[in-house]
Amino acid sequence: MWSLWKKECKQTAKSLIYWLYVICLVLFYVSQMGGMRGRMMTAPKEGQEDYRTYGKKDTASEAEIMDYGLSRLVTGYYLETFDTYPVGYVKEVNISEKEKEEIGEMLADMTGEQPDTLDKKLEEYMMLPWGTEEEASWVPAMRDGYSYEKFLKNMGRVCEILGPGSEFTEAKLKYSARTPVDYEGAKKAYENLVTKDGYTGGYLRLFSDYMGILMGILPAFLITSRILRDRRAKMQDLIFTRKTSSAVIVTARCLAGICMAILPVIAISVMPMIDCILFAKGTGIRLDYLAFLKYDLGWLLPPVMAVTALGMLVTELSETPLAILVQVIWWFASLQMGINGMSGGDYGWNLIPRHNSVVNYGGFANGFGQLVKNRLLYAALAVVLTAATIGIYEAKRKGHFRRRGNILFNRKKSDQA
Amino acid sequence: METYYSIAKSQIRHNLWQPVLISAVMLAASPLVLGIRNLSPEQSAKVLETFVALIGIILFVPVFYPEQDQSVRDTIRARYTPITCIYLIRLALSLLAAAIFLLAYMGVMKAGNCGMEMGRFYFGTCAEMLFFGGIGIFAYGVSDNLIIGYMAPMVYYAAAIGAGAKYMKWFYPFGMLTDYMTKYWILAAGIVLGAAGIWMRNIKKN
Repeated sequence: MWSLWKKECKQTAKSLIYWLYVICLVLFYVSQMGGMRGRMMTAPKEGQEDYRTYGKKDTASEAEIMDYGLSRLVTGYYLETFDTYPVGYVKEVNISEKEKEEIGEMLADMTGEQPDTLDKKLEEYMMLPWGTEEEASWVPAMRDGYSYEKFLKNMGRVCEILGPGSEFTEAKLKYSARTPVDYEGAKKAYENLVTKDGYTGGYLRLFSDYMGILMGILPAFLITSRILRDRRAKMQDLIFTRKTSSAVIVTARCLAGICMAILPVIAISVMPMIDCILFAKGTGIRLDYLAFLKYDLGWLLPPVMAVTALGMLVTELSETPLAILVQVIWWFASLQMGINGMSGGDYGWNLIPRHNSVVNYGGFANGFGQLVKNRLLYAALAVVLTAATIGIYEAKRKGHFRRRGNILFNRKKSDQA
Repeated sequence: METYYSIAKSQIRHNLWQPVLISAVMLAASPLVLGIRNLSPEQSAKVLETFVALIGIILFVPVFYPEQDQSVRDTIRARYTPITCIYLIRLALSLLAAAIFLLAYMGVMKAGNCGMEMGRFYFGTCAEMLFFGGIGIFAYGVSDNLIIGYMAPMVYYAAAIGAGAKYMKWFYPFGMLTDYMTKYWILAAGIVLGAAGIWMRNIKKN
């Protein structure tokens, strides 16, 4: 098994596509994080112009969430159309008369206005020029004492009306209603980075965010190329006749593909570590020196495993580059779905969870449980897909699934063969 | 002429139908997940530049695939018709398919009241398709590896999303509304890269 694994690793290391893969990773790192060294995060100063670089507040209050949700609902109701984002792209959902009436009743209930006067007041408000809303005689606002539970119930119904990708789910409202941190918040964000994240953690999370984009697709190119190379060199039949079991061949190839894909990532992840070490020299910050391994293996390895395993399965099954197309579709959808949670914390079940910020430790801590489940799912999926590939490979060795002039089905019974 | 017609017929029957089918399914299924009605010019440009233009990779890159096998390649090279001519016929067919798909898609968008200048957006998206296709043909021609041919434009696409116009400058593929001059640059680059890819492929035979 291990000698086969070593051979596979050597084969991969000798291929042109592997070195192109490494170059891509290096260039991507340099273009996204290469200039970090001169712009490392420092403690905020009181009275500085703004604190945007320290992120947004971890949470929004119930009042902020309700105000935000109401303002978005009012706009959609007035325009009779809502923007939804099922896979990142905007998808416009037009509401019917009946649905408009239902949402109108919700708005009347939330604002305390009479349904028949609401439309008129709303029209006057919406016709005001941009930036002059404060001069309005009436502004849509939640009525005093309106319960948060009732508000969420209304938003749930709006989500049902609009379908997938609605911005009125509780999680999305909580996420979008957050406001930028003030000085106190910035101080807390920096403290979290230094104490809880060991400073390096924040940077490695950002590294994982960027590299995750490439890990969601590039390993598919490596493994597909490796398998098709055998087919092109007409080596398959020779390998099929060997004594080595299908499980050993497939597992060794899969493990080699995963190892070779993650190896340069581990090597590049040392770069942000060095940046942090140089910055922290003499500052007294206690660095987490193992952060790069934690993030490489915990965050980036599972998608590499899943993408490699899926690439193997589809390529063994189709004997064409179809795996690339399948992976591109998955990658594209994951990337687009991640756009709505760029600043981190909203990891869901996405293959490419996003956390495009050095700070927001609070979001990371809140979403950590989900992130662990997410990563375990993809690792488990890789195991299942590899097992399926072993089954297909074994069947091909017995003469099934062969194409292009070869045996299509093994028509002979085993006792006749 | 009859030879060219026969090459085109054979290409459609044996090879082109697959990328055409995949592109058609991809475009036809898109309204299920992305809106193509009542879009602003910005939203229309985003759909065309970041989604529809991807069919350029699917349609153009496999231009050398039928001769992937060296023995088939040698047989074809021994024939009277120059192999470059065969490649050009294939590319012309792919271009025709891409142009028809784009026209149909934009027609549906326009009928759905999307805000866009038809001619401008059409040319810009075509330029981007040719650019991605050109990158793929060049990478395939140089490496003799179809997977590298697909990988190169996809990496460029990902890099453009990540790096933006700041790093890509003239060769930023998503500049429909921000800097339309980029469309001329990428069109030129696509043609040059495609031609270079075919040239490299021919050089490699010796």
